[in-house]
Amino acid sequence: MKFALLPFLILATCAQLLAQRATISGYVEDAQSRERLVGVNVFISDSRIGTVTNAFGFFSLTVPTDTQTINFSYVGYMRESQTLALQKDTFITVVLNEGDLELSAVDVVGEKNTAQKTQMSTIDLNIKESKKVPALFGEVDILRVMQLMPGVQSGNEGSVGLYVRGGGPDQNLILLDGVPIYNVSHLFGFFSVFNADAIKSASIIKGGFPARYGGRLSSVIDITMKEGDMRKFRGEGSIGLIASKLTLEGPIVKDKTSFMISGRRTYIDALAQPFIASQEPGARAGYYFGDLNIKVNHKFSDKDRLYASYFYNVDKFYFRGREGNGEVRGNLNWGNSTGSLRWNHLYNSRLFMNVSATYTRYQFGTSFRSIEPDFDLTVGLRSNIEDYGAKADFEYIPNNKNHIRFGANIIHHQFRPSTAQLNEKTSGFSLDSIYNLSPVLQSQEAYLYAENDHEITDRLMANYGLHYGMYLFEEKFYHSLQPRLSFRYLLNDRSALKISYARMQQFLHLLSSNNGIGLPSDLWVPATNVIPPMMADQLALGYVINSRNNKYEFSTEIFYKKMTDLIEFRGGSSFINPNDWQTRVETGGIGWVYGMEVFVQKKLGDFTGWVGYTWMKNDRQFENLNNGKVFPYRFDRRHDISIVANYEITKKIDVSCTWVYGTGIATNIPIYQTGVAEPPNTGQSFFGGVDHYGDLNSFRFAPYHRGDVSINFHKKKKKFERTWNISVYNVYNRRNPFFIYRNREFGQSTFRQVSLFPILPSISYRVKF
Amino acid sequence: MKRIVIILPMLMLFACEQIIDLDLPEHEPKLVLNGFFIAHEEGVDTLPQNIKSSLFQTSFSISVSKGTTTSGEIRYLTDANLEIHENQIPIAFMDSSNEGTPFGNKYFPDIEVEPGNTYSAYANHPEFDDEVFAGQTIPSFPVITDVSIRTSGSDKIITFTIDDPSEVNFYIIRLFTSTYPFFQGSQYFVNLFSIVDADYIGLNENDGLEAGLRTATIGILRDNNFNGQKKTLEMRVPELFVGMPDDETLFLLKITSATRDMNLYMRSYYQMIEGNFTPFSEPTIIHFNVENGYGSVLGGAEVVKAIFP
Repeated sequence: MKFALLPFLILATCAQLLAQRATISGYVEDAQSRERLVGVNVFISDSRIGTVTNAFGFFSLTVPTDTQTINFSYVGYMRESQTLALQKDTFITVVLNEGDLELSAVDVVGEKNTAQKTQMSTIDLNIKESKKVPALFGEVDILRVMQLMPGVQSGNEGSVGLYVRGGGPDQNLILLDGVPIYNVSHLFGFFSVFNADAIKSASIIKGGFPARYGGRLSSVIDITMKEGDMRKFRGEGSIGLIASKLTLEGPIVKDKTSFMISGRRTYIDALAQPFIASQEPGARAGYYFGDLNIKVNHKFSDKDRLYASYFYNVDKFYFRGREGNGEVRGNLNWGNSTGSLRWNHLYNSRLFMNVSATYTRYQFGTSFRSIEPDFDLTVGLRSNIEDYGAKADFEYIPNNKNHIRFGANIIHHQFRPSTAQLNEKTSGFSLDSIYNLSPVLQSQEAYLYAENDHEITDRLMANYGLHYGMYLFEEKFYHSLQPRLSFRYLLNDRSALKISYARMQQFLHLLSSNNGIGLPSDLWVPATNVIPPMMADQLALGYVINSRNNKYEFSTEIFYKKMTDLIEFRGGSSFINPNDWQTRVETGGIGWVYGMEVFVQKKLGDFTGWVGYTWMKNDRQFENLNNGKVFPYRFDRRHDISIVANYEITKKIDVSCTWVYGTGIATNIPIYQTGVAEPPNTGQSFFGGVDHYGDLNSFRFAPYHRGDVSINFHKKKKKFERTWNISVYNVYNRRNPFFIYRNREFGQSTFRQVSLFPILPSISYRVKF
Repeated sequence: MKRIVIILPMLMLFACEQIIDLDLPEHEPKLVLNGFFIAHEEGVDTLPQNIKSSLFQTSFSISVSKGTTTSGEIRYLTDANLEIHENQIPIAFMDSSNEGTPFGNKYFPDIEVEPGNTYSAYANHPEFDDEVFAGQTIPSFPVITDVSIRTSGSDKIITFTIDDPSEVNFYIIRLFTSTYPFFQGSQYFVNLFSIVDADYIGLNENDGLEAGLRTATIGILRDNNFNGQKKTLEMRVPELFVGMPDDETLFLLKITSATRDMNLYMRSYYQMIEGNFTPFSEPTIIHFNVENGYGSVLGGAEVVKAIFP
């Protein structure tokens, strides 16, 4: 590892000796809340010198010792300039005021636009703009907004699962304040667990992964919770048709310590209860979900800051009813709980450190209880994955041409694929036992990385690095050196060519059903002695151009990704019975994905929005699936289009529309029947014929398309600002397929397509104070 | 659990479900040829009838495929023409006018299948333009040595060695034991199969033992577990299944050396059986190798070993 860092350090040191320079470093914060801002452009006027703030709002620039004007720009904020006579290293904290960047939108040499960034295949979501996008039942969802980006596809109707450049939903590293979240679905996948009111920033990386990320094949989704206002107590809340939420934030000690707490709960169960009770007296059944985000941060000094985050979410379905003289009760629940403690330390103007301790758990459980006068039996089934992790990340910025990052991470995984609980009480007998139906598995994962953002010439910039991943399961040790390379060549200040290559390895597998049922029982399992980790190599080539005033952006990318050692359930297997899961999967699968993405965006003005288009081919091959022949992945979508348009009619009214189109997903339905060669004495007879599907995933659902509209009415009151939101989901009532089932009546089979959401109007009321 | 799993999708669809009938493309019926070319060692005729009925037999069925939405049963043809070739030379021909007419729905050609030969079956019928066909080269008989049985606790451990030839062979293993005294009049055999320890026999759970183990009646082993080497396998028979005094128990070990097609077909067949008993199971693609139509023509060489405690 020492040797891997050596080239970076030599480069950095040489460059530093070239001139008399001073380093200006510091943090950029929101003027009102004093929350630190991520991704702010920091640049010197009339030069190409510039950078962006890191995930903790920190920046560092080395400039000649002279009078310098430093500019700060950020979408949604007024541009800020500071002129400093620099003679020595200087530390500043800059505040930005919310406002329309366009008011001061002139083309400023040195300001970083998307063309000038080395990182490709990355989308930074504007949370404020995302809240305008029409949402199902008015519940704003950042993962749904991500689904509207090219290269990011949704799964089935209503699902928040992300299929990034042909990868599965398990191949996304979804981080909330640096902690992996294993299941992001509420309500069987219709909503994500991320409450938009608690989110400060969100970005998705689809390719060209920097070396600091690892452990998943297809994407990194980095979400940061709000930190909490350091100066003023504030709040935000909404009441919708199915859920309400409230976010509160404020100082605990002014300018030192702040908190943020945000909660959300649905009330479908309360609304449905009277109907259920009227159908069957004494019966109760319901479903709800909720989530809770808490964050506290404390500023010890300009150099030290501590963040503590906690996240919890739960989905619960329950029922209770009478049966004979007794009663039956059942429930199904799942959810995540995560926590992190992060310490930022600034050693000097060039060296920044973040150390984290993390915990995450995803649990799925179900139980059934039968109560009789002299008998009480409870049967439960539970599976979970639990991680304890520690991480140290360093950023060293020796000069403006190099930005070095290095660090290490270690995670202890514990898997309980299936645990059963049996509790039985009768008049003369009592039993309370827990059985591990499949053994508890433990593994350790670690990585080291080093990377450098290197400005090689004025036009050529590179991000190169190495990620060394290690994994230990019992006696089996897997490790791999994963090179990461990204190059950007500026054609002019506004346009650039980019190319990237990344190798990624994933040590965890998700066993999920291929039959389209969106249940939360997907099972995380580790790479083992016989099931190796997955690997992916991705190559991407892109072109991006921004308009002169950065109002418009056009980008296109082509990519090729090959994945190896994929796993899939064997034919005839089911997620219902996860015992001996290693014998129920096919291993050694290969996946090929290639495609092209086009993205056109208008970023500023009354009218904003984007058009995204993806053409993609996504195939899989397993020796023992589909007779060894290549077959399309279930979410192989040849065409995927999304159009988003927001129009601010007045300062008080804005309207937003989206339209999405996707090639129908691939599935299996029996097309014909034949007799089969029957082995002797099997106890089975298929004289009447068996079903045949043709090739695997050879049938296509009808194409998916849908239009949504929403309108917001804003009004500033004395003490708060309120917004009425009216949304219409599926405005032209398209019957999109959700699943297909076989209906047998009088010996005749027909197939029926079930569609889920018809036209759905909704209304919500939001306040901000 | 099942109850919950059934309730969940219903709940999920609450008030918004809309159902529409789906128009599927019309299925064009094709000839379906299924069957086995199986070589047996000499002496198989002396086995009890109930054991013989558990052996693969050289036989074929010819039927017509139908669309899933087409009503009615599968139509088995008894007036089709079936021609058998050995090493590309016709050796048997059956139609409704000669002695080879089907028995029930099956055609039983009067041929002796020999390892090393290539056998092909050709079937046609006036209703169909295309003749369907497929062939198999029969592998050598499995060489089974060192068969032994011992007692471990209350279980019986059966050990045997397969000497794998250099050709590509797959092995299908079934173990039978008597549930009534073998030498009495009322004989009855049930299927039993259980691997003691996958590591012990040098096969790992994933790439050694194929689907079908779940039914606990059959073991399907891949060729790459042997690669021309000798391998010793061990099976444990729990006391529950023995249930008889040692001197009255008989085990019969049936091992079929199978072609790649037969291996793939047997995997898919047993996966289909498993799927039929499992809710939300993954679809199974049945392995076919017949040209111009559908079906599976499979080949193997089978031996039976009697094991007396």
